[in-house]
Amino acid sequence: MDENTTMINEVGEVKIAPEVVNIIASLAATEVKGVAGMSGGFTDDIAEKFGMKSSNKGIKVQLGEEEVVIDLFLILEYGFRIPEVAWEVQQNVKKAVETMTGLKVVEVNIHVQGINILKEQKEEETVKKTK
Amino acid sequence: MNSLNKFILILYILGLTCLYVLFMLIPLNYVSYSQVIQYLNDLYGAYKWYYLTGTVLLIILNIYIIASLFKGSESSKLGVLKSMPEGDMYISNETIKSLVLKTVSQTKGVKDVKVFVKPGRDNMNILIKALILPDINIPNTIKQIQENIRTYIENVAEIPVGEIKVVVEDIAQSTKLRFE
Repeated sequence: MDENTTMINEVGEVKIAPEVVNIIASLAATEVKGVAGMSGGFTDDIAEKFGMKSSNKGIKVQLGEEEVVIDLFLILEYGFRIPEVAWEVQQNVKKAVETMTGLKVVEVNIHVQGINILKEQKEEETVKKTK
Repeated sequence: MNSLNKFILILYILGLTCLYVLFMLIPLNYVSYSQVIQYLNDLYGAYKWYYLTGTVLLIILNIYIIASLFKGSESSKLGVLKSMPEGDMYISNETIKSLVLKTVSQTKGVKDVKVFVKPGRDNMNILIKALILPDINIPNTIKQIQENIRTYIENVAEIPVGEIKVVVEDIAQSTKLRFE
């Protein structure tokens, strides 16, 4: 994990931990319509099985002096246009991180790791059952 | 985890299972405990260094298997990269497979669909293997599948689709016997 980013102003200094950027980016990404969730690695999945929520699941943050590069690993919903969802996620994450931390977001790279089909199938099954 | 690692893991688990079966047979008196101890003592006396080498190799194998679990699958790292003004967008092959699978499964009369994707120079080639239900016009169904996939992938993922090969492996049984 990268070191904290320090911003110095006339009153003192403000340190921002990478976890803060992780959480902001994660929330901003998952609130976009069409995003099913973050895609974590093997360790994140095991941690989740034990009830521990990992703040950096599916996120890689590279903090510089005053800028940040964010990589998001996403699972999208079926039926949405991928480039449009990706664009919206980039805009939302950039806006949220820049407004809340004052850091300059240089890049928001989107890695689409999979499509959530299960939810869609469950909905179809319930529709069939109700018929 | 790739197929070689999976194969090694299966062999390893099978080996361990055989060892456990042997341990299980000792209290049931199918295998004599004293004979096992005698055999181990003989082996230890004669091949002390093989013991050491064997255990070291097993430890290395364990580390290798654990490392391959943490590494994740290689196939999920392959995909299509697109540059956007705010950063890059990367769509994994697994995503494209899921999209194709979902689109094909919506076509009537198609079962047991398997999807393979192969990136070409500037497009994505798709191979589909499936079973088709009897009394369904195969050429028409294939044509429909190809058209649906091309339209959907090019529209949803904006990835140019090259060749779409559909292989009908067999005719599926429309009725399943059920014993109760």
